Amino acid sequence: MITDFPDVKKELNKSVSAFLRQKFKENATVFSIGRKKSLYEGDKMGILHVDGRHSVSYLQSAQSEFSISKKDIPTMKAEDLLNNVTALAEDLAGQVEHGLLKKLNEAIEEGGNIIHHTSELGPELILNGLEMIVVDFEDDDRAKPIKPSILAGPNTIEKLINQISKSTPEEKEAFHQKEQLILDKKHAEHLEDLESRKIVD
Amino acid sequence: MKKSTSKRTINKDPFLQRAIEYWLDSANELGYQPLFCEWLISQGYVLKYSIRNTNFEQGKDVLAIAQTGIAHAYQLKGGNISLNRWRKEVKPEIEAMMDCAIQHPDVDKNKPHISYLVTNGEIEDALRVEIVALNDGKWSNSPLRVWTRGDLLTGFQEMAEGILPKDAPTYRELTDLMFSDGTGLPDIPKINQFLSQILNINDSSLKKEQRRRDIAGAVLYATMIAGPYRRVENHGSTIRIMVLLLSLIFYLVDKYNLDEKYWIKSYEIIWNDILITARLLESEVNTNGFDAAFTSPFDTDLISFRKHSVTSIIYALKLSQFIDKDDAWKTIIDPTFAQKYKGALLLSWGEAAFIPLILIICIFKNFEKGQISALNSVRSMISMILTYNGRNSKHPLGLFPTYFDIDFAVKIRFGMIDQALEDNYKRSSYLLKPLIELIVRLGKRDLIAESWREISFMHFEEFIPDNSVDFYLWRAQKGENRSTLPKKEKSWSELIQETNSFDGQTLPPMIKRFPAFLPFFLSVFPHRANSETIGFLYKVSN
Repeated sequence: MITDFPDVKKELNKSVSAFLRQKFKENATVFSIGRKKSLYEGDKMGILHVDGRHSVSYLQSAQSEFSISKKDIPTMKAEDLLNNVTALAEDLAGQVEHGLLKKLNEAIEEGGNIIHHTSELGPELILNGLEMIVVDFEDDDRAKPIKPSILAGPNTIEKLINQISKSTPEEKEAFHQKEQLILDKKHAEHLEDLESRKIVD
Repeated sequence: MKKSTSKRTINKDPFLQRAIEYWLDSANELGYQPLFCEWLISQGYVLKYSIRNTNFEQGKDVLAIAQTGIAHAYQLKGGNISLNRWRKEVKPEIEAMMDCAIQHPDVDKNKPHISYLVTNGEIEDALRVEIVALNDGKWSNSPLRVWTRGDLLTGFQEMAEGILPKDAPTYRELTDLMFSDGTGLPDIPKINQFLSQILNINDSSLKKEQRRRDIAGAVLYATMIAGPYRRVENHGSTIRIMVLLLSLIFYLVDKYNLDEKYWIKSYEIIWNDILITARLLESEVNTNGFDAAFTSPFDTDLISFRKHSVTSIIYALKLSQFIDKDDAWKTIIDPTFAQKYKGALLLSWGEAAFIPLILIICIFKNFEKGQISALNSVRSMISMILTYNGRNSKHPLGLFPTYFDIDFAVKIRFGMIDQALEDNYKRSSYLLKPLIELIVRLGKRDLIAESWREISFMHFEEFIPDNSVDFYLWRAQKGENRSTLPKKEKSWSELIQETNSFDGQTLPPMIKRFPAFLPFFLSVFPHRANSETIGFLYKVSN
């Protein structure tokens, strides 16, 4: 054979893998912001709930591929390879996000946390959502609520930003006051919840 | 050994022949002893004992009974034996071996035994002449037999034939492992992969006789892989390799229901080797302390990791001795012991760092004074988990799960991990639940009550293999990664009931039959520490 450079190829391969991971993260927004937990063995995850329910889910695989014809390799440029990898990352990210959102949706439905509405995403809807969820407070401090993130499509987010930018100072203040009232209530619930966590009998 | 009775057709593998030759030439007597015992068994001998470093051996390192019923005693030596060495060191031991009757309940001490001098080196010509003269003279009734390098080599090479690495990459793995730097930690995942292949752990079609040969082959290869570590007396790493080997053998026995005759002697050889090597490690620390380990300026930072690595093995030995009712465990209550190991466990890279403390608690909980220390230790570990992994933790990642060993800890400490660490272990723990159960067993409700608020936010993590035998594997393919969510309001009596249900019932049979192995197993497989294993250890260490 014609002498090769296997170690160099191995390093280049590592770089391509790193690029793939980077592109995957860019395209899998929900996945990237969430807390991650790696599994080291086994083929399923289970949760033993406080009420004794035991839910088990098998690991889902995401796969995608691209092929390069041997005859194209001599004329192939680095950009071509990176374009292929980018498309691969987008495809993988789409699969993972789809699976993740599906599971998330199931959990939200199960918890009865769906708000049926006809209006567009705006301050009222956000406050309605805040009312329904449990809010944590860093160091149990009322001044440090851990507010949830909003996940929506780019168009919806753009409209929301426009709506906020057009709102008057009075509207903003009204929103802020309503939000603080909800957070006061949530903090009281939080303290009550802390008190309920104990050993009995 | 050249008088082997094997009639198998031998297809000699030149690579393997040379590999064994290399290994044998670089081993000391302790290094080849396990394999020598394994060879005796393969030749139909019944092994009675193999001892080193005790005052009771009376020159006999190994005692075996031949098929004829005659006892054979072996004195093992390493390297060449000159006339000078013979007279100063070897001859007195040989005379003790020949003159003292065998003290063993299965051996009639009135019947003569056959004595052997075995070395992996050569004996000087002048010495050969002297031994011949002695055999013709005062030893004529029971002459000394001598086995040297060539005899051992033939026997060991014969053992290896038929149990070969399956392909070129596996040969390469063997070469890498055999030539590894013996001063460090062994590459357990790699050794596991290699030995699993030699043992054919996933091939259910094999006959039990083949299993017996595979086990012998695995002992051979594990001994060769441990060679570089033994050579530099890196006892801790040698033990890790032998513990891995024994775990895989336990897996085979339980999975394929192997009768004792196929594995018990191999078990005894390996277990004996683990204990002997652990005692050597203890003796090294007793003699030199940890100060002798400072050999480079980098040790200022590394010494805590090195201490921890050693202490995890010593503590496993102590609990093992305690379980086996061997009084040697008592050194742990000697005030000098505490002084020697002071600060040896001050590391908190991850939950695996807690294993040695948990082992020692299983001894201390049995004594009034020890209980206070045991409770303080459990309380500190729980507090540390809640500080690092609790809901209010400010730590970027939290304590790593038990899957991350000390090798990883060192690399993290010095920024040598090239993979991105994206996980976050906040609100999760693998050891919190078994630690809570330790306190429940000790009946200290107040200690749980004071932390329950924070504990109730945690997820108790554990891995439950689909097949209980997979417990012995480094990684199991099938099984559930379970998160248990604790109740906000927990009844103490419910907690007691749950705790009592963890007593090892779900563990596979071999580990329950040989509980003294479990402390060593958990030192090498910290990710197998859970409610069941720790509950079982607690029970058997009463």
